[in-house]
Amino acid sequence: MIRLFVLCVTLALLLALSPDSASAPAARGTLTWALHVAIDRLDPSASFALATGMAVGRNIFDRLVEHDERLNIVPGLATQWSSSAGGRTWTFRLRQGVRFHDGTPFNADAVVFNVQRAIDPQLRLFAGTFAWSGVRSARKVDEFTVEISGEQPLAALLNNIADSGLGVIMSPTAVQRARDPRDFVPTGTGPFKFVSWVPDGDLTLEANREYWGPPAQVDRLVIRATPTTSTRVNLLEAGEADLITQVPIHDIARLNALRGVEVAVRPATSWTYIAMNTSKPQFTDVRVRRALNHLVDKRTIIEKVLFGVGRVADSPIGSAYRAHRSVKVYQYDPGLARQLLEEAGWRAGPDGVRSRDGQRLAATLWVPVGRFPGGAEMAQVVASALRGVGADVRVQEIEFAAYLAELRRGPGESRIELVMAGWGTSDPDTGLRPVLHSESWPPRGNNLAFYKNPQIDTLLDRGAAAVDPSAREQIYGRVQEIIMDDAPWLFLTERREAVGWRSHLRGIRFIPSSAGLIDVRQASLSR
Amino acid sequence: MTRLVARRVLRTVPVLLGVSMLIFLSIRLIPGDPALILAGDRATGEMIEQLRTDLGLNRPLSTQYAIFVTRALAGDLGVSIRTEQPVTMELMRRYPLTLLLAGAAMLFSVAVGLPLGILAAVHRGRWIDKTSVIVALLGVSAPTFLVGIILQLYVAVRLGWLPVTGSTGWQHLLLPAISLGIFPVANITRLLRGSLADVLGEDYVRTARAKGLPESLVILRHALKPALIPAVTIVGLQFGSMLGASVFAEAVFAWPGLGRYLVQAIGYRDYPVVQGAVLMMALTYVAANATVDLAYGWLDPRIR
Amino acid sequence: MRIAATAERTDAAPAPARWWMYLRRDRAGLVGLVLLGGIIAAAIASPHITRYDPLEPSLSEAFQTPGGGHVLGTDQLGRDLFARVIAGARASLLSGIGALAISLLIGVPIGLVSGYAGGTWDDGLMAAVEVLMSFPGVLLAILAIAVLGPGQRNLILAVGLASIPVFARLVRGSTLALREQEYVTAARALGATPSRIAIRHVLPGCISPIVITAVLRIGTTIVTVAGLGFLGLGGDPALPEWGAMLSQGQEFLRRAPHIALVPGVAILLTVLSVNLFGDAFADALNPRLQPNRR
Repeated sequence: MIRLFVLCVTLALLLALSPDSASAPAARGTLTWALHVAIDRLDPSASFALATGMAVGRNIFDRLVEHDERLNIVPGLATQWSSSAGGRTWTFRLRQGVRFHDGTPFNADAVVFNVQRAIDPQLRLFAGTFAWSGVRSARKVDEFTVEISGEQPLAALLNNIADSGLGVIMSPTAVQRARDPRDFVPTGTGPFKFVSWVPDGDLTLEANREYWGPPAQVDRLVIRATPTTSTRVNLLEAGEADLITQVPIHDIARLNALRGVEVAVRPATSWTYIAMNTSKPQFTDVRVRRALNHLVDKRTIIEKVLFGVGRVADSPIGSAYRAHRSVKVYQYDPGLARQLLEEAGWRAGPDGVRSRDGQRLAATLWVPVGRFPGGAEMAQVVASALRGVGADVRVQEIEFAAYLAELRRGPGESRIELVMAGWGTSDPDTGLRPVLHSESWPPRGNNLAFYKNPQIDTLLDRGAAAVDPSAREQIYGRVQEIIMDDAPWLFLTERREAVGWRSHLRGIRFIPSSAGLIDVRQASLSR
Repeated sequence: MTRLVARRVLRTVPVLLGVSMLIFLSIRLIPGDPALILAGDRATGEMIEQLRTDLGLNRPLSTQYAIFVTRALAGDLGVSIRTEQPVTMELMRRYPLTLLLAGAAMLFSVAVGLPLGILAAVHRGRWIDKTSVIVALLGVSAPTFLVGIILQLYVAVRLGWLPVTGSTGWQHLLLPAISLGIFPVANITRLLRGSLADVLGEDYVRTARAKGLPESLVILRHALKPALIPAVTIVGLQFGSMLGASVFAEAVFAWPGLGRYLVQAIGYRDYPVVQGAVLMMALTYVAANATVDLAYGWLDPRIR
Repeated sequence: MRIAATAERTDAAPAPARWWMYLRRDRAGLVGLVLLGGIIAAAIASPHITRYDPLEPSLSEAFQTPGGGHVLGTDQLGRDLFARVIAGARASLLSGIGALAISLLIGVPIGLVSGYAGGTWDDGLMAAVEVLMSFPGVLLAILAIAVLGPGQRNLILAVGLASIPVFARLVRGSTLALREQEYVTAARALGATPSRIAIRHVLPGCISPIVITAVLRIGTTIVTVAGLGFLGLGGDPALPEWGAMLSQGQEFLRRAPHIALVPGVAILLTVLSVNLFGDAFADALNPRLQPNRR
């Protein structure tokens, strides 16, 4: 009898002391995400790397304002904002009662610290500088109000700082504590807290139970660097990863058909194109450029080479931009191309290659290795079509580092003839000005076509200063029309990203901003 | 003997110095630089210049080289430009994996090549001999990456017997090791075949046979050991070339070893990593060669 | 590959008749020769054997399996694989031989000077060679390509670079042995200049081991060239270089394995035939293996 009593008491005690009591939340799992690229450092303001923005920037940190899935600006750490002085000054009212993961309170001082740090030229925080570009000063008005101003109107400010990795707000205490970059612990206000990081390995985060916004639905988030495509696919199939990025385009159909696996193709704001160096004699004539555009069979290329993962370019910018307009598609028409070339005076010689005034219609098409899915194939198809009408075009694959070096060469020394490139941001100003303004010629910018059109320059300048959304849309609409007509590029396709996940993963959001498509902050794993 | 060792070791110093100089210069000759890659395509020219200065890339080459060498002698291989982690640490996480792969491959090739060579030598001229030689030749004709891809397709993907990629278990090691190890099989087989056949014709072997010892004992006890001498040399040399060929096995199977890391680092122009990794590989290579030389000297009584 | 007998003979390469007779008895070697001959013939005649263009894409015919109109199927851009693989034969064979030629052109003189002149020349040259040797061959080639830039020509140069030490050391060894021969000392006594002696008297004695090693190394160079193509260092992705084709095909391994397997088998057969023939050739030239084969 006594023994039975002791047994019951012991059992009761054990039950009472066990951690699995009713008050603790039931385990909600670990979300494992196999990312196609490695995180290079934990400070998002120091790196443009996609991985850093998407994995670190978006999950550990918040921004003053955020993008929703339609790229609308919604409140983040700022609850209200307004601009004055023609857009030169922006005032933000900050959210109250928020703390960083290390306990530091979030307030105007923290914001000022972050902005000043980002724009400090000594610190070379490339991404941060880009986010706050144009900003000259950040001033604390009161504990929860900040004033940010620049000499020029900051029309693109909201879009820039909403971009996942760039406009992050970090804990000043954490930043100051790290003497050495190696000691830096990314400390933000976001729904996930930093646990550990193995370079080229796993980034482990845990849910922030004190988050000011909707709490995370999983306990842990593990982001694994998996650059090898076959490994990523295998991890997904085996169920070892719940989510993977950059599903190989030719495998989408097969994976989607598997039970328990889903694949979605999502638009991003970026696009892929081939720049024609308009300062080289072959490409100065707009008729030639238009003719060559009629040789790019975008539809077939997207269907056969990209396995449908793309969208025919009908504008210099991608369709996810709010300012995007479907301006024009150059239809594939080799007959028309030949006609246009003849009219422009390019006649075929005995070897079949066209020339005019002694200048051969010849060029090398550069493709950076591994940067664009299907890039080498796209280039070969385009080159082949160009050869078909008498343009001597050869494809050259070059290593990414060498590619970057070549793209930095200035007007006199640039060896660019035809080069495959990509671009994409979340604001039309930063989407168009660095690639089409005459002030953006390399090495200052990325105008790889060395394009110069005073009309475009004026429009882009006006757009940069225009804060009113409808004025912006009008201006950028006009820009798109002129560019499609003037064709400094061979227009190809918008980027689409193929993402795969296990069906038990719910709540992923897709935000088509440049620095990171995937948002797992509200993702959950159902049983 | 110690004099021999000392001399051999001393000879490696100028070689390593030469290697360090060669790698230091050649990587800087490659177009593009780490600052550019780090900064990406959106940074301005001034930022990149500033970054180059901060990375110490604008200092005169001789200074950079001197710093590199003096630190390397102290065991400090610098800090990776890309990840800001100490190079030594990064290498230490990957080099053992490559050594493991090369070692496993070596084991495989010996395990296959040895019996094949013995069979071929013992049954000289008959069909076993011819077949084993041809099998071995097939091995040397199939490049590592080809074998790797075929194995990956049929064993891992189609049959599912082994995982496609990974690095945590012995199952992950098997396919890459086989892909890498097939190549030296031919050399080991042929060498052993030749030297064993020679030894089997020697007098003392015939004496042993005459004494009535069973053939297997004759081979194993008397003939094999001296026949192994040239084989040992080959094994040592092959290990070195395997370090290089491991790049392919690592590429196909995503094995996170040094070869793959090095190729990536070249792509990033991560100078400290490339310099450190190459130095480490050269060191191993040189050490392997030296060991082989010394072992040769020790094994072969004629040289002593 | 083979620890070849260093030059024990001082006469010139054996008369063709003897080794040819030996070769005819070696069936494996014959097979290799025939196969190799076939591949070379295909490489030379490639534009005429097939009507398909190995270079131009034809998207509507992509991913066709072997059989029917396309004997070996088509690749991801619709190009006929048979046409591509025999067009690639030319590129691969030429690259392999070209790389070998470079190693010979540079390695042989180095070995000759090093072995004959001796002294500081020897120390210096051999130290340089050892430095080169301390880099795993593939790595050296990768670095060389990175410095030189992409393209087939640079690929050949880079692979050639990696084989220089082999020939340098080989020729040096032979030269050292031959240097003390009587006819050499006699020539020296007669007042011939060192270079004349080296070239006219010593070099011919090295030819036999050089040829043996060279033939045996062709296989290796072809494989290395393919390997670098596999790593994507070839430059023009349209070129039907076997290694590059293999690498591109790897992506589609599950869906259309023939795209990778066709060039893979081509590499295998070519190198195998080179090795079979090369081995038999080396055996034929090697005096030690002549008499008792049983």
